[in-house]
Amino acid sequence: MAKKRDRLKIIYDILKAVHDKNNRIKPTHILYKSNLSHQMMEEYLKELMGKEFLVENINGENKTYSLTQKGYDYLAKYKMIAEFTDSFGLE
Amino acid sequence: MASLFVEPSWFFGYDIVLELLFVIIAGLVSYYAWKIYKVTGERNLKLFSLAFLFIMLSYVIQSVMNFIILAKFDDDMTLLMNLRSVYFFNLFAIYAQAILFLIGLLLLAYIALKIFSLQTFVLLFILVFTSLFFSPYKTFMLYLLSTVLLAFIVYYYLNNYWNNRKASTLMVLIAMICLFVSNLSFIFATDEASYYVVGHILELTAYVLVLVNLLVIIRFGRQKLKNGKKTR
Repeated sequence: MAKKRDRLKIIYDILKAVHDKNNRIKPTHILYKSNLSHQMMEEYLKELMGKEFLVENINGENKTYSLTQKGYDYLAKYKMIAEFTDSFGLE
Repeated sequence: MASLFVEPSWFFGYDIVLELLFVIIAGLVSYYAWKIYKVTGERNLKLFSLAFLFIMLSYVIQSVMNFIILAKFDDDMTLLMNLRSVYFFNLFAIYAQAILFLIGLLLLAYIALKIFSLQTFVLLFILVFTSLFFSPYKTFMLYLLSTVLLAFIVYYYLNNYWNNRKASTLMVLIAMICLFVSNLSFIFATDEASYYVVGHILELTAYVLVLVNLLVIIRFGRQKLKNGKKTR
């Protein structure tokens, strides 16, 4: 049975999706890349904006998301974060 | 709590060095957990950092107390119980060390419970500290309570290893088992000197394993994100 993705990995997947799209991504792309339900994705996006990992850019009817420096920090340190939380059972 | 233990004279001083090493390692774990908490904002990491901060402070008090005892008395003295000149100092130090160490373990057990309710923590806190406060055998009770909490923590890390089998989770599991057995040894160290030494050696094994694991994690932290912005 496949292992359930933990929260920190989901956050990483969302931020990585933004990063891979040259730091400007539409919500539909996030939905596709993160493999979440629409409701779950909305909750994560709200949390990530609250934690200042992402910023929302609204241009007319288009809505996109970009990484902040905190978001880049998370991506850069994800391996360390994952290793620390895995080994010390902090997921 | 060397003052209430029977400690072999040849071990005087070595225990202080070991306790200072535990201070450094527990401090490093606390620091890195806090650093990662600042990046992720995850509550578990904050609690884990605080747990190791309390454990670190308990070792600071223990090593200072042992140092003062060592500085004050002859090397030949093996049984320091009932010495009036250090009685009040010991009493303060014993309580402070016990409270800090137990708070650290309580926080780890609280993380392991995965029930994030302040009421649960307060209930655990009251149960642990009333047992300690009303016990006539403080040292025995401290190590009995910490052994029970560590048994629970070991069970949690056993599950963690079972669900995520890799070297780092195994190292942390073995470290927690060593801490558990060392606390078990300290229960008997009030009567038998060798248990005090065995307890410290097992604690050393535990903290060295934690340190090795931490160094591996720090190595991961040095890897940069490919094709991304360079971070601080």
